[in-house]
Amino acid sequence: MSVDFATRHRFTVDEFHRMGEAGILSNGERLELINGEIVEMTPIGSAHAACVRDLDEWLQPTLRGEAVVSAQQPLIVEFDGEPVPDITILRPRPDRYRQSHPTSADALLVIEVADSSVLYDRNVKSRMYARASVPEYWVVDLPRARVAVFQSPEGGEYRELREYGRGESWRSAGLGGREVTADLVLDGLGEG
Amino acid sequence: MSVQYATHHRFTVDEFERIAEAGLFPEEARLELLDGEIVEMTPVGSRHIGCVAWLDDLFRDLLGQSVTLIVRSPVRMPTTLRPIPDVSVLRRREDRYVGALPAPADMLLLVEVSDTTVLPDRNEKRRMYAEAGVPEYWVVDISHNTVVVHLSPAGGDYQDVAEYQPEQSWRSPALGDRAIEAREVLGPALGGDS
Repeated sequence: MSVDFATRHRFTVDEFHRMGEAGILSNGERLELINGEIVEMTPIGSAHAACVRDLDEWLQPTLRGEAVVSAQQPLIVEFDGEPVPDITILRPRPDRYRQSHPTSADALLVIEVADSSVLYDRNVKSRMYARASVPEYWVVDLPRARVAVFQSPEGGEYRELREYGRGESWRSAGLGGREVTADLVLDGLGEG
Repeated sequence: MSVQYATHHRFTVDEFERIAEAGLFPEEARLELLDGEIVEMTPVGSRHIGCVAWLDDLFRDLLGQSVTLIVRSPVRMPTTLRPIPDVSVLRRREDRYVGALPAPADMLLLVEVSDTTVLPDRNEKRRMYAEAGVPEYWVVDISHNTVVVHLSPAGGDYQDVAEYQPEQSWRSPALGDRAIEAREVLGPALGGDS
């Protein structure tokens, strides 16, 4: 049964952390804070896991010394969010984010790989990242084999949304203006 | 913005109470736990508040000291339900429930006064209360001037549901099978603006 008829109580990032510290949120659960609401992360299938692994393997050496590549780690987002994006590209920081979690102000690019969660990633999460002015956000839609690239956050929405399929490429500001092919993102590093 | 297409985390009553004890709810918050989700109570107006005050007096007049009455206070149901009904008519207990919040076995009748929340009160809450085994549940619908009476919870729903117009009456087990008219229940809220 859903309680969509009512207004859900929203938690702050601080309250979310303190609930974790108090042991109220059990450690076994994979939870995100999205717009102040605590949601369960969908279980990751093998195609999703492989896509994230290949993105990480490609981006780590490519961006070494330029940016920090963080895979499936929490990101604190302004206005009560703490998602766990599949990949976050962060501004370099001398402590490499040892002292504190990165926040949305540190993010250059956020990537979510979607199988069943594509509508949620495209609608709800895109608005959360846009509100926090994350400059670039990709949703890798594995079932449809499309990469949705959101750019130019303004007034709580991304002003630009382009979709790319196999055979297409674009320049990503979040990756220092590098050219990216949809094939690499969707199909990974291949078997070679 | 509501989170769509997501599975919201569901809390148990115990977890809800630990969050409250840890001071993690804002003091001003009026929160219910419904089906494991923490929701904010709908703000109410003077007609709603007056109707609750009327019911408090009515039940006191009809039942005297034979029950414990609590108004707009939480009750506890296994394991994911901690609602705040408008009126709870409970088995009388000498300790007045100082030791623990009332549980379904303590409940004789729960009442929700509804203006803007008629649909969820008649649907989602009806099923939640039936499942918890609340024996009698009234929705006092002050926007339509009716009283919806739910009896005989079994198999996750009430087997006996009837809606009464102001001039109609029924017999209420919680009132010792006394006959009561909807007009008496609606009291001064009857006929007001909807």
